[in-house]
Amino acid sequence: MKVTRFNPTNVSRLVDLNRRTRYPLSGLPAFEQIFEHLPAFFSTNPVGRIAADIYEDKDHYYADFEVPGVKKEDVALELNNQLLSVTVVRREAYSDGGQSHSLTRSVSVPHTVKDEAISAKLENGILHVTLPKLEDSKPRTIEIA
Amino acid sequence: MVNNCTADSCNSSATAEPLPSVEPRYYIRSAKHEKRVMVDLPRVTREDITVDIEQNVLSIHAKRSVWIPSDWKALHRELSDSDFLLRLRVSNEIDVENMNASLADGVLTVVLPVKDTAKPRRIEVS
Repeated sequence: MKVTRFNPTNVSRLVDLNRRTRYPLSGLPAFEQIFEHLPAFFSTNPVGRIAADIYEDKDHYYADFEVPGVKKEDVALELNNQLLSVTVVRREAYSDGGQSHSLTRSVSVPHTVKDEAISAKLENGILHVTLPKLEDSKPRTIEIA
Repeated sequence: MVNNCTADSCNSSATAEPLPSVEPRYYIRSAKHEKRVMVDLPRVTREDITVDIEQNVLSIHAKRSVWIPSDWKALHRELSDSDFLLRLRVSNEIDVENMNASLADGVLTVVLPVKDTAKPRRIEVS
């Protein structure tokens, strides 16, 4: 019999954990069913990540998140330490078991955003978030006397 | 049954489609009386979708007309502007006349009813 030393920092387990953190949905049974038509699923964005666009103009930042199939009541928007997090639950209403899966995407937001004035709207599978800039952070033109 | 179209079998029936386009994510659910195709079409409005069926090929084309105000500056971009194009081969058992499609929350649902003659039937033994 061979005795090996117990190694609490087993490398392969750490790798697995890391993978689990990066792809929190890996291993969930619901995915087996969603992946029924595998090739098509990989044709656009990889699953597990909500695609985002960020724009700005003089007075606002704008963030668009791609969340098709998600209803308004299944969206949670949170701002914490300059990190804007969008968590959505997509319910597969048409599947037998009423399965659902949850996805999160976070984007960092400059400290020049007026936190209390952030607004959001869901339209055609896109979540539009408007983040007004603080007055004193806006660029100002100084008149030369 | 709805099958994914292979490149050589579909190109022959392809008309001049605007390019480039990407294949959207889609799911298929089958029941005895109908097949359902759910297609993710984010940033698409109802008017910009065409659903055609010709020679047993279901074609879904969705144009994305994305309008960004000229004074907006893009800081980070991941969303695609490409149009969506999905082609699926459909079997003869589909009742083409009674197909219908609806768009909700950026997902198009196409319902393909199965013809009565194609439904499984039990024959009574006399």
